Amino acid sequence: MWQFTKKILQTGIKSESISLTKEPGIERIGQELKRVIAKRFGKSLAIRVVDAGSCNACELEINATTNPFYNLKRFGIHFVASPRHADMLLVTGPVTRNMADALKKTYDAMPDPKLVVAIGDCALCGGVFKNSYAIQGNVNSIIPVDVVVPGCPPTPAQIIQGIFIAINKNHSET
Amino acid sequence: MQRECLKLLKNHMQSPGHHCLEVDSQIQADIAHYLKTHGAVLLTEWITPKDWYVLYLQNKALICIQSKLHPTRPALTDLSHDFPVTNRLQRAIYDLTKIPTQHAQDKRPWLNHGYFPTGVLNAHARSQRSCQQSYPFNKVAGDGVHEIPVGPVHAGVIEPGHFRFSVVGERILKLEERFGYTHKGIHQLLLNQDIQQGAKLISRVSGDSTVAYAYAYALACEDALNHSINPQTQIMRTVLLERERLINHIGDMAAIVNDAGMPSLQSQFSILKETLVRDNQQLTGHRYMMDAIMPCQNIPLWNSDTITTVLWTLNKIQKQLHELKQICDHHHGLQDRLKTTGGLSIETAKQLGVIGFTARASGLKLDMRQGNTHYPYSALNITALTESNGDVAARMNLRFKECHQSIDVIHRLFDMVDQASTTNEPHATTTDFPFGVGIVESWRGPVCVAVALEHDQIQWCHFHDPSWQNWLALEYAVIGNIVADFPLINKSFNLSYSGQDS
Repeated sequence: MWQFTKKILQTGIKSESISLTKEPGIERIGQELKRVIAKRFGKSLAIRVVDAGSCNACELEINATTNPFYNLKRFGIHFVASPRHADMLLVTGPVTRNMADALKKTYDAMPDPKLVVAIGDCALCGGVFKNSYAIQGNVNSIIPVDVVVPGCPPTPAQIIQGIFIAINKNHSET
Repeated sequence: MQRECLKLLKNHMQSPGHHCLEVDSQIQADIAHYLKTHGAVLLTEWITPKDWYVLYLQNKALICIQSKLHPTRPALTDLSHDFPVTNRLQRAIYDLTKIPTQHAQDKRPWLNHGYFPTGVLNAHARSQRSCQQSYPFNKVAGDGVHEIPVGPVHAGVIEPGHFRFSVVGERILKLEERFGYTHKGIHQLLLNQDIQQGAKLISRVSGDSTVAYAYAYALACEDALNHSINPQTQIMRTVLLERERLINHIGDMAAIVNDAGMPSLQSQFSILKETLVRDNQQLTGHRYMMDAIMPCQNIPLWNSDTITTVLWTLNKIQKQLHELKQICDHHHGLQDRLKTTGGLSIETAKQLGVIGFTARASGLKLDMRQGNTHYPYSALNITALTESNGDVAARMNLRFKECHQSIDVIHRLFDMVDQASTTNEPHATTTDFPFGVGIVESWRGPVCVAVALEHDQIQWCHFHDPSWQNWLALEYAVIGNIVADFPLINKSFNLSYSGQDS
C-alpha cells in the first residue's frame, strides 16, 4: 500500500487546463462548462453513451476524456449506466439497421431535455460506411441531434467542446 | 478421405509455408477432423462467388482447403464439430449469401436480425424476405434458474451486443452471446473498390486494431499484385503494430484494475496510454495511427532525433510498468479479484480453437510472429510468451509481459533499420494461393485478410477478426463465476464486437 501511495504522490496532478490541446479558447470552455453545469444541471451533467455501430475508435476517445489529462469529471460531468438518469446522449457510429431500434428506445427512455451529441463522421453522415445495405442512416435521421462533432475519431478535446456547445445551445434557447 | 488427398495434406503439414489443396466439399469435414487431431487451428473460412475456402494454421504451415461450390445448389459441410467457431461463421455466411450448411444443427440467423433481406451478397439467391426478428435462445431449466438479459446497449462506454445469462443465485450456469448489432456490410462495400479506398474501409473494421488490419490488408494486396515493398517500410509498419499492441494492452490493464475497484490505479495506466497516443499524433498524424499504412506505399524513416525521443519515452514507460506490476502484485485485494476468476483451461482453449493472446494466457504457444513468418519478424526470432492459469490474473500478467516484449522488439527494430535497404527487393513468392493473403498478429490475435484483385480493383476481399474464435472462449470462461465478475472477465478478454460483426 505504501508503494502505491508513494506512486500517487510522485505522479502528482496530471489534469491539464485543456490548453495543451493547442485549440485556443478551450481553457475558457472548461471554466465556462463548469459554470453552466453548476447553474443549469445542479452541478452534475449525466451522460449516456450509445454505440450505434461504430468501429470502437470513437469509444476509445470518449473513454480518453475521463483520463487524468482531460479529467472530464472535474467539470461535473459523468457517464451513467441508464438512459433514465441521463441529461445527454452521446451517439457514435453510422446507425446500423440492427441498432436503430435500440437507439430509438434509449432516446425515448431519457427524461427531458434529451440533449443529443452525435460523435464522429459516421454519426454525422455514415462516414466510410454510408450506402451500405446494413446502415439505416445517420443519427439525425433516427433521433433529433443538437450538436455533431465530426472527426474519425474526434479528439477528446473536440468531444468536450461538443458537449459544451450542446449545453450552451440549450441554455440560449430556453 | 482419398489416399492421394491425405498424402498431399501430410506433405503440406510437414513443410512450412503456404499451401493450397483443392478437395470436394464433402470431404472438408474429414480434413477438418484430421487437422484438428494433429493440432491445427482454424483461422478463418469464407466463400467467394465460386469457391469455399477454409484456412488452417498447422505448426508452421498455412493450409488453405478450397472447394468448388456447386453452380446451382451450393452448400457447405458442417465443420463445427471440430471447430466450434464455424457454427457462427456458417450462420453468418447463410445470412449474407443464402448458402446453407448441410447437416448443421444450429440454423438460427447470426448477423441478420430481420432488418435486411437474407442473402444480400448473392445476386442469384437474394430473397425479398428477411428472417424472423425473434431469436430463440437456448433454455436452461431447473429449480431456481432464471435469465438475465443484458444489452444490446450496455452500461459502460462499450460496443453493443447481447448477453443472455442463465443463473442460479449469483452463479452463472450458462452465457449465450448474440451479436450482429454493429454489422455494417463491409464485405459488400469493399467490392469493386480501388485498393486505396479499400484500405480506408478495412482500417475501420475494428478501430482498436486499425494498424493490424491495415498491415494485413497491405500484405494481402502486395501478395496479390506481386509487388515488393522495401525492408525499411516493413520495419516501420512493424514498429506501428507493436506500438498498437503496447497501447491496447496498457489500456486494457487500466480497464481491468478499474473493474476490480481501483480507479486510482486505472489513472496510472491511463497516463501511460495517453502519453503514447499523443506521441502517435506527432509521429503519424493520427492518435490511433489510422491510415498510416497503405498498400504499396513506403513509410519514410523517422529522423534520428525522433527515434531517440521515441525510445526514451518507451524506456520511461517500461520503468513505470515495472513499478505498476509491483503495486499490482502486492495488492492482495486486487489479486483476490483477479486470481481464479474467469478461468479458461488449456484443454478448453484447445477444444474451442482459441487464438491470440487469450490462447497464450491459457498456455498455448500460438503467435503468428514466431517461426517462419513475414519480414521483419522472421529476423527477430520471437518466442511466444505464455501464462498457465488462463484466469484474469494470467491475462493481466501476460499483458505486462507482452508490453515489455513489444518495447524490446521496437528497440531491436530500430537497431535493424540502419542496415535495412530502402530499395524494393523482388517479392519472394512462398504462396501457391490463388489470391493474396496477409496475416498479422494483432494485440488480440491473428488478423487475416484475403483479397483477389482485378486491374487494381477488389474483386472480393475477406477479413477475419480473432474475436470470432475468442468470443466462444468467454462463454466458457464465465461458467461458475458470479454475475458481478462478468465485467471484469469480459474486460480481461476485451474482444471486438465490431470486428466480429462487420
